[in-house]
Amino acid sequence: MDAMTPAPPRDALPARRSSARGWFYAAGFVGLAIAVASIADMFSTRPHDGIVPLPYRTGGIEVRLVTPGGPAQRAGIAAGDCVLGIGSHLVKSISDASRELRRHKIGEAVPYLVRRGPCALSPSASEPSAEMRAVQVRLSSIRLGGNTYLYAAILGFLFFFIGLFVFRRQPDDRAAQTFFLLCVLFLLFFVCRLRPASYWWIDVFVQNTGTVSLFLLPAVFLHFFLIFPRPKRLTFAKTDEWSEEPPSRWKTRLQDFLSSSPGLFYMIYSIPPIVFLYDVFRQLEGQRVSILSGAPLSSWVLLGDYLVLGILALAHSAFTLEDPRERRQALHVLVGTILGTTPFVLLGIVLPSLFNNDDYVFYGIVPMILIPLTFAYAIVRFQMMNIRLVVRRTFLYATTTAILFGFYIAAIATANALFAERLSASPLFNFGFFLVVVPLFELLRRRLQTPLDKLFFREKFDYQAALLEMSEAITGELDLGKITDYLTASVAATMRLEKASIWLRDRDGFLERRGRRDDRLSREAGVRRVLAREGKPVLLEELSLSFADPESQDFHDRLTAEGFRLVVPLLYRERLMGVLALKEKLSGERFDREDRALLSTLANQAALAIETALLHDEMTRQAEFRRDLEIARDIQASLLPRTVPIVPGFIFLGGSLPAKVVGGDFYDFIPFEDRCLGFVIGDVSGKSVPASLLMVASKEIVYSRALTTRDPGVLFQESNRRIYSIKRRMFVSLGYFVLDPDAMSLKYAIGGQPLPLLLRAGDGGPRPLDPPEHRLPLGAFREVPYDTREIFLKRGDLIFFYTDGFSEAMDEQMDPFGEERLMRSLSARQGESLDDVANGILSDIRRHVGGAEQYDDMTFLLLRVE
Amino acid sequence: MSTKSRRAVAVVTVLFLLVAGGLAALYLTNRREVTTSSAAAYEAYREGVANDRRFYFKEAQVGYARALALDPNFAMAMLRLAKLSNKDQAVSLIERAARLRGRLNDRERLYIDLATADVAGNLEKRNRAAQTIRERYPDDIDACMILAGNEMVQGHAEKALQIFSEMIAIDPNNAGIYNQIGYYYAWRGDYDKAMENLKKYQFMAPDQANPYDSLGEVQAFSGRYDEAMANLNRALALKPDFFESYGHLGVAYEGKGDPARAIENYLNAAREALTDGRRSEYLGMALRSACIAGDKAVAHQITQRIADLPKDKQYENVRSYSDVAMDVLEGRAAEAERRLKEMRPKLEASYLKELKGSPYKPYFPRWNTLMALAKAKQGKTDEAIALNEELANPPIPWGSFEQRRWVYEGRARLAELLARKGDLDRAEKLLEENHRWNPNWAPTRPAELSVSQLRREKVLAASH
Repeated sequence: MDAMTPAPPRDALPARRSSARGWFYAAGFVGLAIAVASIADMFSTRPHDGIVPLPYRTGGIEVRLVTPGGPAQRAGIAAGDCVLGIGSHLVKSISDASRELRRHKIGEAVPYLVRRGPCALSPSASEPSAEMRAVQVRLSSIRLGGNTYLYAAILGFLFFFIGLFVFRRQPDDRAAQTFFLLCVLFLLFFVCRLRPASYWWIDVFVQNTGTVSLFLLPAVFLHFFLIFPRPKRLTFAKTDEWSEEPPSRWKTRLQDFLSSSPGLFYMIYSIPPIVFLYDVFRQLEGQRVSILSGAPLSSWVLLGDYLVLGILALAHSAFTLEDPRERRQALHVLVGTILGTTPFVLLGIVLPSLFNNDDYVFYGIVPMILIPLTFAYAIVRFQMMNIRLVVRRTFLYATTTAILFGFYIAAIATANALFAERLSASPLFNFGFFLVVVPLFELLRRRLQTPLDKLFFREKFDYQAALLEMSEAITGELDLGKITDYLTASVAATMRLEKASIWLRDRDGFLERRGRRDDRLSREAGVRRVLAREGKPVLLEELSLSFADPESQDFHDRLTAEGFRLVVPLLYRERLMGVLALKEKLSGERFDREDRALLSTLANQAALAIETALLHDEMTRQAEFRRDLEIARDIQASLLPRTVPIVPGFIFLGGSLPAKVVGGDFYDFIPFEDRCLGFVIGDVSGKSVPASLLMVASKEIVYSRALTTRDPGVLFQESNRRIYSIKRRMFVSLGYFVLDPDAMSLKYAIGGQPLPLLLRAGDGGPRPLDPPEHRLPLGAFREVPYDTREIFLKRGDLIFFYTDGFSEAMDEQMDPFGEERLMRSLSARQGESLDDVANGILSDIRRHVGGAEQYDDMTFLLLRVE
Repeated sequence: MSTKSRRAVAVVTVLFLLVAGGLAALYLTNRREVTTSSAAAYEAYREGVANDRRFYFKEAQVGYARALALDPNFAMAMLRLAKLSNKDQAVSLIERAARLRGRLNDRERLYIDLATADVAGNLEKRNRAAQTIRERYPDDIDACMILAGNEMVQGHAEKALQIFSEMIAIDPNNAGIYNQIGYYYAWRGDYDKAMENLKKYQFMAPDQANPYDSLGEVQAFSGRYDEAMANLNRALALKPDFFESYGHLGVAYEGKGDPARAIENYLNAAREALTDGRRSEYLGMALRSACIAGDKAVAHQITQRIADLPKDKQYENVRSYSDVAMDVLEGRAAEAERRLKEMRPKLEASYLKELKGSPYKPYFPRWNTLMALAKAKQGKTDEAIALNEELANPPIPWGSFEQRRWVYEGRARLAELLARKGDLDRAEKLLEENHRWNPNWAPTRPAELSVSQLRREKVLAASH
């Protein structure tokens, strides 16, 4: 990647990361299972002598620690002693000791052969001499002598749960993944490595797991600090400002290598196992490996080195990151890490190792709590999680564990009573009990969840119940307005929010804010796709609008400015039905995972309810529309003349074929007292009910004006003004004709209508009437100087008055029938009766149109002079 | 199922049972490492071996004898019983076992070779047999003990310890090996390591007398008398007839400077001893203690008890030594010298006969001691010095505590004689060397006092 290529945003990381989640969950589960097994094993009923052996010794059991007040300490065995024999048998390794202890019972006094000083590495007879003594150790079932391990274990689990919540919050974030892994290793280190070990196989297993965690811990620790808060990029290889020479190749390569490159991480992860294997080989060759607090010194040195490097990396981040928020975050963690680790190193490792004094280990472990706490603080402060959930889970799991522990005690007591301690002392008992408890745990947890929530989180429980109730309520509602109002009001009241608003999808596909028609989002707004893809409640600040369009950005800014914090997409079948936006809670608390889960459920229900309501609304509207159409059809039918007037010497034929249920075309006759006959043919823009209504209005206007003037041009001028005043943005094309049978004349004005076709006998083909000068449709402009034309008729003349539905009738290739074809069709039927003429023309049109749907109304009048 | 099929199934079943039975019999037979037809005899034998390993020799004798009563042809019981018997009886038992050679397994035959060579004093053949056993049966503890002991007497202590280390690797909880290792370290004067190994032994066999006895013995010879007495008394509490502990208590009292209690314990040990050879040994120790204390009456009584011992092949030598000791005690130094000179050819002949293949020239520390005392009493200081020089630098450096004692006391007498001759520096060096072995050994105290007195006189003389 060159400098010109922008780094992809963290949210835009490839989706393949999600497949890694499973591995991290698996690692976490395995770590947790081992830790839980380790803790459970601490309460097993095996005989214990209170000796914490040093691993990797084969010349005897070298005592690393004795549990305070435990059997070994009471017998005078101290750290640094070498146990050479147990119960009349010499022991050379931990497995020997395990075998010997199995032969004895709890409470039995067992002779131990002990020597001051370290054990020899090899079982040679020529061991260095030292004073040996035999002591009696009374075996006990109690493993723990003090509280140090308990605190360490609690700390380990705290690490784990914080890591888990961070990981669950951002499962695809590399830093969160590494942090989770780090927390799992800390859990294993605290629970397994610091565990007062004994000789049983599970101890060996747990200890080895702890050891593995110890040599993995430094690498993960450093890894985390190299990518937290974001992958470290070093920029020491720069072009010389003066000479403008590029940096040397090795410098560039070194910079690339140190800048969180895969090679760097391979190296970081390779060193600890190599060092560990080196120690193992040294021991196999019989060399003595220095052990510090139960682990090879080299591992501690490595941990220390990596810790220092990690802290330096973090310090670098804390002072060099560009984002001040991230800088603060890094600074919090840096301070916590330094304060947490320093006492542990001094009091938990150095002091016990150098002065054989573990009295202050507790004080070394306690400050380590600062590490997860500062992480938690940084996380909470920078809005990554809700600590209440941790507390809630802690209650839950603590109660579950307590009940299981009680069950365990009862089981032991029963087994002891029934089998005289033989079964309960067996390791098989613990194993069997473990198998029984594993399925019980989840069952019990589920059972306890509700009562615990009621007990400790009444308020939370109540509002969860309220949200569920709300969900049910809106599901049954069909009124969209009620749904949205109820949703916003109830969510705000129940969750105690400042405010909630909703944007709903309208018929045109816009997202319109309820009650604010000016606040809309078009179909093309990118934020709609982002929300639809997100599919769950998302914090406004986390809403990724990279490469977003201005409209989306504006929408985001508007919401932010108004103080909204959380947006909840309302999705129905991946279709964004609306968006619910929530402001902050009045309590100032953050929206936790459960809030979001409930809101998700509610959003799903709401989206379904909205979709149902919209469908219901649409159906109602359709039904109303159909009813209106019925009415309109009746109106239109009543407006079309049922009969044609009888004027001696003239024959009329009229008809209308609407394209839809109700057409916008019409025709009518206006008889005058002086035998003159007016008739009108027209076409209203638009169809259906509004067109019909306009048709009625237009007809009435023309009628009323026809009573005052016989001049069609004047009538049009006056009618135009009246229709224009209706302001429905609709106009009417009309043709008005006045037939004077006595004068054999036809006066006419045309407004927007096609010119009628005149077929004069013996005069060739049909031709349009002379066009008036002004032919604009009525209602288009306020003042139009329509003019009147007049022709004189002869016997045998045939005039075809028609609306544009005839000439514009189109076939499937969108080819109109056209005036030429119309004239040919008319011409071919010159001597035929009017019915035949009309039917012939219509059949020609049908033939032309073929299977295509009728596009427009077709209305005509035929006038023949006899 | 048809009749044919049923028969076939029956035949297969019978064959299967026969094979299984044969394999089981083979397995069970092979589980026994010794040849005997009697399960009861085998159990008795195992009991005997277990007691043998505990050094409970009487009980072991009983076990082996019972095994032989139950199975008169039980060769290994004969061989083991022979080791705990007087020599004549041992020879007879070994010959009986040898006659059964043809029906024995390989290891038993090798053991017959070993025992025959041992009783014939053919060390080379014995060692070869032991080596063969060890090569073929690496876990054989008895062969291992013989070989390690052989290495030890040749001064190859590291090789001996190597053998034991290999045995520990095979059987880490074999308590007896730690006992042996402890002794070898003790004979070399490395008491810390000796004590460590003996404590392991004690830890592994806390209910047995021998671990306490071994610890007590090492402590007694290294000058930790009170601890020694405590351990030895504990051993006797566990097994009141454990004669070795009486003997070691005698050493402790002798070292502490209480010859009366020492003699009493030596006599107790002689009373409980299993064989005449061991009995005469303890009586000899009691006599020595009485002689050192100058108690003629007690010495006479002990001599009388020695005279009453059964007259076996060793009797003449034992008797002669006691007479010489009395001569020395009662001031008949020339007589003692004469007797000793007469004894010498017989001793050498007996040595060469009984210890064929031994890499060492004949060496008799008891004879040297008595001769040196006789010479010294006659004023033949240089001859006495020469004899004591030989005692102080024996051809066999590490044999047993008894052998070390001859060295130690010979060195003390040599130091006294050299001091009287004026070589105080060497005298003091010799004593210093003694002190590293045991800083507080009562029988050599007169010699030490004498040397220090002479040094004081010399210092005073020089100052005047």
